[in-house]
Order: sequence, then structure tokens, then C-alpha cells
Amino acid sequence: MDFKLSKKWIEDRKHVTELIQRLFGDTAQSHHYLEHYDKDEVLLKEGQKLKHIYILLDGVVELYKRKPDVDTDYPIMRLESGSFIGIIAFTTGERSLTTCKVVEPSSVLKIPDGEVRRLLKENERFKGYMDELILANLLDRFRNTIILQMKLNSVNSKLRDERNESQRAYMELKEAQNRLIYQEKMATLGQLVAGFAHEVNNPTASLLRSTETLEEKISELMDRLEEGEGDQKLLKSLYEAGKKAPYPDTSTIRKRSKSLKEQFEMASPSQLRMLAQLPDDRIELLQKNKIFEVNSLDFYLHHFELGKMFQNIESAGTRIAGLVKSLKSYSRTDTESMWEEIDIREGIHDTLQLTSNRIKYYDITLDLPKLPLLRVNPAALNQVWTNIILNSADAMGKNGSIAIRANHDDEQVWVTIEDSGPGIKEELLDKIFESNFSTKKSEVKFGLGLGLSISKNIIEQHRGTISVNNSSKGGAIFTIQLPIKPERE
Amino acid sequence: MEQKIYILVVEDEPDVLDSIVRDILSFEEFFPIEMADAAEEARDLIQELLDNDHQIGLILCDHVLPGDNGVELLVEMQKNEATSQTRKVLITGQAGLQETVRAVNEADLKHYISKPWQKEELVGIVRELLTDYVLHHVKNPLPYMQVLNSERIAEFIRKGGGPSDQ
Repeated sequence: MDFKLSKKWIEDRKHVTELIQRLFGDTAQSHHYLEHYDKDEVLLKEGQKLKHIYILLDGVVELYKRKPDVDTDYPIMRLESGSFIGIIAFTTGERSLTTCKVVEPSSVLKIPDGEVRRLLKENERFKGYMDELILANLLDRFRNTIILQMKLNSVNSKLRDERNESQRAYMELKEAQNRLIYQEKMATLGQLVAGFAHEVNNPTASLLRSTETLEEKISELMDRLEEGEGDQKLLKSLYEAGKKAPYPDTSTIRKRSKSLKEQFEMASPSQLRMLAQLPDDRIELLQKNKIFEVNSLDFYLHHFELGKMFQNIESAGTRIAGLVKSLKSYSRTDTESMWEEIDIREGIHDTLQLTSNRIKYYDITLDLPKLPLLRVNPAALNQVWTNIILNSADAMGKNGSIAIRANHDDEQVWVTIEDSGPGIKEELLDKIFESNFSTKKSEVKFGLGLGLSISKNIIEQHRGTISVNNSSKGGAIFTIQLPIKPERE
Repeated sequence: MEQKIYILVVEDEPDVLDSIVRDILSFEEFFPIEMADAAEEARDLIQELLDNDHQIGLILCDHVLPGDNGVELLVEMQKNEATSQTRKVLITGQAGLQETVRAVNEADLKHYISKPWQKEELVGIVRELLTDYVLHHVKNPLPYMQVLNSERIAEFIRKGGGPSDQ
């Protein structure tokens, strides 16, 4: 074999085609075997037992291989004039490895297997050319395989790079998401702390102002007491009244002081305001004792005020203590474990206490009967109550009502939180728990608008469900269902 | 009835309301104090005082109130010609920045006092704001000298000032 053809094969297909034609022409049988195929015609099918060898004289065909898992044919090689088709099956005797489909109208010599073998045996010259042609054919395919292999390598490495890149992007995304969840949590907490500050500042102001007033008044009172001024019993009784007298509202004070003005003509406006807060029996006592003169009235009223200061200090202290307790139990800073067995109603009460600056003037209905203890993450659940309650507050504005109800059966506890707001548009009911959803858009009052999606996450961690719909009255009702014995934490 | 300049205190927590009023009692001889525990009540009260030809020189107003909040009340007063000149103070434990900005921009908020306050601070602010009001709206500020900023009033009189509209 001297490989005369190999180089030509690659450079000049036409020449080779002519050679083949001549070769078969010489054997005078080419016209028997010449066949024409139109575009999309199938020459042979993958898996077919081949009885012929095909030599493409003119046109283009494509070889396809079936991918079994997706049941689709993939093109693997394009063959042009001069190519042998079925050459592997011919040499090995195996079934066809590929399907061959015509791409451009083609002329093909379709020679029976036996005929080729006969020619090879009988015609030495034919055999020489055929050997070379077959070798050249295989060489060409081998060359294509190498090119394909190189392409595959570069695609693989690109894929690897892309996979690394997307892995990194995923990590970054995950990190960003964690950061968002954290920020949302902090925003909710910030909202609560602001509310807490407001709530705690009122009793603190009252406490500080009361002690200062006490300080001012007490030494003056001591002096006058030392001088034996006034009726001790009446003074004491006014002091006692001050300790427990309820605060009338301002319009009642105004009306009462107007009518008292007739009886206590000399009294100053501030004395009249103080008198207006006195219980009726004490007013009668003052009148009976004829205490009308400004200075003396002052002395008696100061005793009442003294009692009131103590009342203020006590109630302010109690309020502050309550708020601090709520904050502490809300955030669970004193417990080691995240999961605890608790009465979930406590968390609801803490949340209401801490959001009170937002819901102070709402009509709050609580229907929370005794519930079985649940093993939960209390701080996380509190975040859920907070999100829902503050959402309701945002939706309702100044006036409204919130009703929180709970119930249970043997398997689960459910809590519903209903507000009297405008409700949620039907088409949004499904979307409201999605992380990119917020009805508040640019005017988010607190947090990032992730509250409900985080709430859903938390409830799902408890193997529970959270859903929302609109009540017959129009407001939104959130329903949270928690299993009493979750399969796992 | 004699025309008077009133101080209005609006606060929903009775003990806090009491403390505010007690701290500014020294002004009452010249500036009667009225109290309200909600914006709605304050509105009625303002109307009643105006109907009787009184003026409201100063309002000390809490932010969180039942019904309309303090900022809404102040903005409303700013829009009313009869109370636009009233010196307005927000006295609160916490008003959001947004709300406070609104009070400054739309209600010409003169001062913001955060709870808990110091008596001297509160008295000082009340004194200056009432002095402002008196210098702008009273023909003869002399009688008020003993409870207000006497230096400013003396200076004003020396310069021969009279009440201006602004």
C-alpha cells in the first residue's frame, strides 16, 4: 500500500469520486448500483443489518446516533462525496451503528455486500484502490474524532468553569438571603425596641416627675404638719384617697371643675382641677370642714397629691417591670436552648405588650383557652406573631380591631389572627407569603417586606402551616396550625 | 369675659398629663392651662376657647393618641388661621423620624421634647415660646414680664416695638 490517495482525499474529493466511478465503470456495473436520494430520505437505520456498502458519489448525508434516555437522534458526522457509508459494519460484520439521512440530494452507489467481496477477491487493482479508499475514509473520520475530542475538552473545561461560577453565585445568593433574613429580624426587633422605648418612657417620665414633686412638697408639708396645721384625720383621708383615686378623663375633670367653682369660689384653676379628681365623699368632707381658703385648701390638696404621686410611682414601676419582663421573655435571652416546651399563649401576650404603642387604641379580642404545651422555638414564633400583628396595624392605620383566637384537638393547635382592615385582594392571597412580595412596596413601614415569607419559613420549621384568607366582614384572617407532636424538630 | 392666652396640653396618659401640667403651673397665673386626652377632645376644646375669643398661645402635644395622632392635630391647627400662630411642641416618647419631619414641615413645629423630660428644660421652652407669642400678638407685653423672658420683653419695649402679625 503506498497511500496515493490519502492526501488527495482530503484536498480533492471530486477527483476521488471520479476515480471510484471509473473503477466501477471498469467493472461495467456502476449503473446497476447507482441510486439517487432526495433530501431527508433515510439510507439506513441504526441497528439495521447491512447488506450493502454505500459510496457517496455526490451530495451530502449526515449520520445520526440515537440517545436512548431522551429518545432523540443526534447528528454526529457529516459525510460528503467520496465517503463510504456502512464501512464499519462492512468490515466488522456488526449491525449499523448509525442512521444515515440525506441532507442534500445525493447520488450513491449501493453495492451488495457479496459483490464487493467478490470484486475484492477477483480484481487486484480494485482491491488496491478499495483498501486505500477505506483507509482514507477511516483516517478522515479519525481526524474528525480528534477534532471532536478537542472541542469536547474545551467545552468540558468551560462547563467546569461555569459550574464553579454558578456554585459561587449560589453561595453568594444564599449569603445575601441570610443577610436579608437577619436584617428583617433586626428591623422587626428595632420596631419593637422603639415601641418598648415609647412605652417605657411614659412610666419613666411619670416616675421621675412624681419623685421630684414629692421631694418638693414633702419638706413643706412636714413643716406645716409640725406646726400642727389642719385636721390630721382629714389630711390622712385625703392622702389615702390620692393613693387609689382613679384618673377621670379630661372632659370629666373640666366639667367637674366648672361645677366645683361655684362651691369653691376662691380656688385657683389648678386647685379646681385637683378637686375635680377627688372622690365625692372627700369633697363633702372639705365642704363640711369649711376648707375654702386658697392656702388651706392647698395644704389639704397637697396631701391628696402626695397619695397620687405614690400611686403613680407604684403603677409606673409595675408597668416598667412588666415591659422589661415581656422583652426578656419575648427575646428569650435567658434560655440556652432554642427549642422549648411552652404555652404559646405567653408569647402572644408578650408580643401584644411590646407592640402596644401600635395597637394601644385597637379593640383587642383575645379568646385563648388553655392549650397543650408545644415544643417550639419561642423567639421565632414571637417573630411570627409580631409580623402578623404589625402587618395588621399597617393595614388598618389608626382605628381597628384585632381578634386572636386559639383552639386545639388531639393532634394540633391552631391560632387565628383576624383584623378589621381592608383585607387582601383575592388575586394576591396566594402570593403574600412569597419572598419578593410586599403590598407595601416603597412605603414599607418596618422591615423589608419579607415578614410573611419568613413567618412561613418559621412555621414550616415547626411542621405547621400558615394560611390567609378574608373574613366575611372583609378583614384578613391568618391561620396558623401547629402539630402537637411534630415528627421531628 | 376677659380675653386670655391659653396653654393646651394634650396627652393620653393621665399621670403623664398631670406631670406636664404640674411642671408648668407657674405660668397659669397669666396663661390658663387646659388639658385634653385625645385629639378629638382637643379639637372641641380649641373651638370652645376660640368661640369665647380666647387665643391658644402654646400647645404641648403627645404623639401617640387615641384616634388622630398628635402630628395630625398639629398639622390641622397649622392650617386653621386662628391657631396657625399657636406655638407647637411635640412631647413624646417616640415619634418616627417621618412623623417628626412632617410636624416640622407642615405644622411649623417649634420644639420636640422627648420623654422623660427635665422640668427646667420644659419650663425653659414654654417660657421662650410664650415670650415669642406674646411679643408677636400682644399690644402690651409688660404684665407678662414676671413669668416670661423679661430681658427679651424689656428689649422689645425699649425698641418701641408693638405687636406684629408675623
